[in-house]
Amino acid sequence: MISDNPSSLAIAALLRKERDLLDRGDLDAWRQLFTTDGVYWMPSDPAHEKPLEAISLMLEGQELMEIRARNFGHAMSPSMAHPLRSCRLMEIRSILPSKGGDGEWQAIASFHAVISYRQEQQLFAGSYTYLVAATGTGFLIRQKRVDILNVDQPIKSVLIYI
Amino acid sequence: MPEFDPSALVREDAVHRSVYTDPEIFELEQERLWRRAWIYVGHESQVSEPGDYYATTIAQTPVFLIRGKDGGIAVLNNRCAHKGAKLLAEGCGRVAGRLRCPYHGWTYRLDGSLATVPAPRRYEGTGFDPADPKFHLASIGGVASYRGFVFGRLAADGPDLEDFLGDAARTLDNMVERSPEGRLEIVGSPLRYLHDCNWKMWVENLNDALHPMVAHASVVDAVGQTRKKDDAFSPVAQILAPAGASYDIFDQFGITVMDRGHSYMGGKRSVHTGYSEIPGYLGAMQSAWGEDKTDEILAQNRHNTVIYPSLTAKDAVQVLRVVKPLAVDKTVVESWHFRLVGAPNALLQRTLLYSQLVNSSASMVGPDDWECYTRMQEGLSTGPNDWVDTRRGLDRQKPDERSSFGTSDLVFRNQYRAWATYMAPSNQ
Repeated sequence: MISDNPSSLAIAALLRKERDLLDRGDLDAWRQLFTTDGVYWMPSDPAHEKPLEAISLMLEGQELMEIRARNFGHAMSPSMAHPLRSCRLMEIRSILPSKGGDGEWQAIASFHAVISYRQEQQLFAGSYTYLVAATGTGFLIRQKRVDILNVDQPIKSVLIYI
Repeated sequence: MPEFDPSALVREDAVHRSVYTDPEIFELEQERLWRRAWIYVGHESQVSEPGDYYATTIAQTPVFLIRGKDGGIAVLNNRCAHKGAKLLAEGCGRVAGRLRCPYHGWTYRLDGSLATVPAPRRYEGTGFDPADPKFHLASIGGVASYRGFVFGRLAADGPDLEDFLGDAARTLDNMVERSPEGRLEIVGSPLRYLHDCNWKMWVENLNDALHPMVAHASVVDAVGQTRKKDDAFSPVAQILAPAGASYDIFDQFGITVMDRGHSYMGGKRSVHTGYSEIPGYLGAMQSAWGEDKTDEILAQNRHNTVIYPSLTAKDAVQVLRVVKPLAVDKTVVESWHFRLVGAPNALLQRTLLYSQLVNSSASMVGPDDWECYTRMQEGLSTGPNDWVDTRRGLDRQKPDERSSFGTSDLVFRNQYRAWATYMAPSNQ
């Protein structure tokens, strides 16, 4: 449930902006929406509770986010020679203060993401779980967890954050 | 129809493109190579308690690894002796009591023997004998465990596992001995990466030292752009930057080949050599093994030991990658990760970081390899040139030579010698 209090509305706007930047492939602007210790996490198993307990499909902090932004569309990358377009539909399910009462919020959303690449369309669906930190002047993402439904199936290359 | 002759497709300096693209050759490979070689099935830590199982495939044949009541392990066909339904869904689990077919309820003991059938009196007078092995879960041709790594062979005859492994077993030894307690445990689910290429392209790439500085140039450049001047190499940079090493450095690593198509790169030095020391690890090793043995263990550094055809192992990074061909142009690669029991947790975290950065389908390394394999698969599907060159280093290769400079094609010539031997009609 999303209340109409100012914090919830601001967080919902942040998440929509984050989605829009990924749709546009603007990874530099996108990573600015994360805290300096922020991480993007795609577990390899929905049962995993912590990022470092087992292998992840992606677990990227600011260093790797910057490397990926520099690599994205790089002329020397064979995989980047094809057009890549993506589109995400997101429905925010809830935005609530975290139980710790430390000014952090948790938001949960369902998503469909379609990626067009190499004459195929990949469809991913699942849930986003965000931890959002208050910064004093607004909000930034401390963690975005992406659980894809087909995580235990073999998947082809994934070239952009889902 | 003339008998298939693999020698017509494998020359000393080239292989015919059809070995990658012909569906009939793929089917023949399943029969002659993948059924006859020892294929990696799983690790004993996946089935630690009686009734634990791991259901997988060998040469597309459903099988499962299971821990018996007596503590022993077995690999059985995952196929009910009644109507042929798979008893177990793929993956790990635990059987409480007996295995039970989900279709008609035939049940089996953990050793595969038939326990019960529904309404048994209805079989009276039909010749049905529950003690007859044809009504049990069929065993596969051979099962053996080497230091916890379980291999299976569908064919009944062939060399024993240690003969098959040869010196490649030293890589598995080293993986185990890097644990202060001499034990490994699999951690979590594997990464599963679907490739649109023939399985041999993927296997060849593991010891292909000519590709990293080209195919992975962008991510190396991206790391360079990101790294602040004079900063120490971060763990991420330590793993990604060596892909941009020069041809000379890869040549110095060297390549070693073994019988039956096995090979490895490095041996003493590899792309993993420059990793930072993990606090507490050296002390734990020396306490367990002594200084001399610890030095000997940590001095071994093989980059991608290929245990042909199904497995590649990294001794210094504790990752196995398992090859599963699905079709002539479809291959799944599973990456499994190991904890060195008794070692600091930071070592496992480096293993996970390495694999996420290199082996994940969402990494910045794997997709560039994937793209190159796919382009080869597409390019080799037609002429004009029917042959794929493997002559690099041939001029200086002596007969029976087992090692060469790192960017030599010796490893590919060695793999295709093994391939031709497996595929030869005279060996059937």
